[in-house]
Amino acid sequence: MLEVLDVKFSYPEQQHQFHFHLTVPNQSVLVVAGASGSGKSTLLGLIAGFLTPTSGDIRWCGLSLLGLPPSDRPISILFQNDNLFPHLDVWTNIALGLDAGAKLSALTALLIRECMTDLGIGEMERRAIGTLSGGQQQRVALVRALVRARIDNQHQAGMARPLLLFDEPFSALDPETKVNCLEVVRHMVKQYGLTAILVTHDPNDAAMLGADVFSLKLGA
Amino acid sequence: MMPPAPKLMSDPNKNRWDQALPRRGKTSQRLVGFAGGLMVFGLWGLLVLALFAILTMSSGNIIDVPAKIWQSPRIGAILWSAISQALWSSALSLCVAVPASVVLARRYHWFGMGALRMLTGLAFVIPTTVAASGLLAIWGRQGVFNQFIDAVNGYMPFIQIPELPSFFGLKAVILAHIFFNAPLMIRVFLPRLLSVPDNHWKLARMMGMTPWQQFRWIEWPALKPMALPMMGLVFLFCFSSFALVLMLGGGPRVTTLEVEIYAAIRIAFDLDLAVGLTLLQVMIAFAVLGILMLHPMMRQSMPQAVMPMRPPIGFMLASSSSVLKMLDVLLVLGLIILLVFPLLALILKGLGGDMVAVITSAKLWRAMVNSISIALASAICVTGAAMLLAEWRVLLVFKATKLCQNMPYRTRTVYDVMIIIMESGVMVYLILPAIVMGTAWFILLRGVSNVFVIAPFLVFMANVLMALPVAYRLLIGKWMTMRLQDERLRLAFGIRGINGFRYLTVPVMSREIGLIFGMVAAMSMGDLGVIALFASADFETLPWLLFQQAGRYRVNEAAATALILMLTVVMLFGLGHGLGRWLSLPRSLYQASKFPNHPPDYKTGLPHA
Repeated sequence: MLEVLDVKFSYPEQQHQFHFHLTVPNQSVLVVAGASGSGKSTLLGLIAGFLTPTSGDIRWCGLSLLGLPPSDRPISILFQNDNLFPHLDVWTNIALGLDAGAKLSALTALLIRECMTDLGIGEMERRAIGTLSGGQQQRVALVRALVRARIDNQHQAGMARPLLLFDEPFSALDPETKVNCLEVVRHMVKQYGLTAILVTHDPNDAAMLGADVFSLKLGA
Repeated sequence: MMPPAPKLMSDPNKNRWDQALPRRGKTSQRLVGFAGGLMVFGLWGLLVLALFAILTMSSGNIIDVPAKIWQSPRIGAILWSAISQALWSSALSLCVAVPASVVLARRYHWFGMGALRMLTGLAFVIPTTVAASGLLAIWGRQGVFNQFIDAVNGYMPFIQIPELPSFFGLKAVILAHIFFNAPLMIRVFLPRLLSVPDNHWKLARMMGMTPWQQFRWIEWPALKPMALPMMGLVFLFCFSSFALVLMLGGGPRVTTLEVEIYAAIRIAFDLDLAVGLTLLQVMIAFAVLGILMLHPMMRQSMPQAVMPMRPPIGFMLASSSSVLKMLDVLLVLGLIILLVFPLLALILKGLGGDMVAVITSAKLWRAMVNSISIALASAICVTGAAMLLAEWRVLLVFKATKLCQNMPYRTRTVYDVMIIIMESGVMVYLILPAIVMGTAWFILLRGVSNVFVIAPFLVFMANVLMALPVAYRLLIGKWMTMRLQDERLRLAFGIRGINGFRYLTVPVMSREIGLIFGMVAAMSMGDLGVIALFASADFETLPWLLFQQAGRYRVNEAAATALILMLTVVMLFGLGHGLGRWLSLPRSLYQASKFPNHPPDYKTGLPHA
């Protein structure tokens, strides 16, 4: 279970203070909605470790995540854009996200292949990122996040990252691709017992994922 | 009512979810910080040592030196000469660069314009000695123009065109400065013109603007913010010019403080005079730079390492009159005469000169080996140092940002102060002339060791220190952008150290790294600065050899040596370009043989049925 316990945060040179308090049960999807500036991305930034709260605690399975760098937290995050390194090919983008030491076991490689095929981007391992469409690029990033979530010590020495954070990654996609991607997320979360938080402006996303909605109000 | 917010945990290691895992250290970051700090300490240390040497080693009381300088009958003439030639050079460079940039942008698609744009980068690499030889090959007494006039006079004796007068003097120095600095200005101006939105040109067309109106309302406003800072920068370069003034000045009437310092040490051996002139030079350079730094654009006035080029559709729409086309053709021809003719003349003269005698001379090969060794060593050292400093700056910026994250207002942290100390420690060598550093080392080391024995090391050090600010400035902009863009992903995936450098940094920065390597190697190869102080029969470099040949009026030998020097410089620059291309080759972790197409089931490890 993810617990965000009375986390307070304010940006430098801004009077406004964000205040978050929520829990997300394991193996569930939570949709975070709210107007621009209400702190949706800030919440994900705090959970991921890009931002440090002024007070409060963030816990995963009862243990604090504070003080940990983002790479050591049990998370995988997808942004709206710039999810991939454009000068690397598809495979290397995924591989570096799984092991920063750039050493993959054969089993991990197989898992990547399976996920790529599931998401309809099989046989694209050597493709340069620039040659992919926006939807394909987001799917590459999604493969990386899903493999990170499913990986365990059998595949690769390290740890699983079963908490998926989605910061409006599908908002710029065309409706059909977006529906496909959300369907994949719903399926993977259910099948592999993952936990996900999705930030979105679109109320239909929650219905599609069958998720609870956590609304943030401006000034909350 | 909300429960009281728990405080941040004092021990970050307590109750952490991953405490069973080994902690991933920040060794690479610490190493970068340690090495960067050591380097900046060394840079400041060298500077303080040099100033200390200059201040303490005059034969009399240091306080008497300014008075002695002030009373010197020549000081007024020296200052007037240095300032006037620098003013003329910077103003005329601007007059050439503005129309040239406009034409290069407006006629982007014309045949050969790509080559001309590329030639503007030559100013960074062509040695001053080679440029001087090239200009002499065109405008000198035995130059191309006089040979042409002789030929015309021979065929048509009734015309008798007068020959060009002696080239040496103020006009030669100014022309040489324009040869170097107009392309530098173009390098800064052109991207600004190309970044004017296409719609502005479409609007100009719709409004029926004349070319003059376009210049007044669109082109000049785009260039204006950079005009004054660039003029100031060029003034600074010309004010501290050494090799060109030494070779083309033609006597004591056209001089600079640097030339006088050189003369005081090497010819008159008057250390008091050298110390006084050095202090004067440093004070004036700092004052000019201080004034320039008040201008906000000055802080970003370094030319871009890799010029972004984008075909300007709007330009084509905005200019189609035939009168303007004729004018543009004339301007392009003028640019070709300025940039291309001296190099072409040098090639022709070099090939027709005493090439065989020069090539078979052992002296040339000794000088070449010396030059290439120093150039390569400097290039490796500067490229590594610039990358290290750039990465350290990035880490300091991240630390400063993180420290300020929870502060109500952005305040200056210790990391900001460290950035200022680091950058000023590097940039100070941009305005500290090589000859001043050389003077300091000469004074410092003459009692300790034979300066001529350690001359190669001193020349290498001078090249490194002089090239480091340029390399750092060329690198830092894109380095910061790249790291800021990548940082979220690097953090999220923990990509640090050698893998981050290998897979993420180097491929993105490859062009800049290659450019810096090639440029520093070329600059070091052609440098005639500190070597002028430390050269001896046992240690000569190619530019020094060329300078000596030109000084003894062995014109044909000098032309051949200049051609060889130019070819070597181009080769070294090409080596840098090749290095950049090699570094940019895609690095993939994908290994088809390791991950076969029909793999075993990842859950069981057994082959698929």
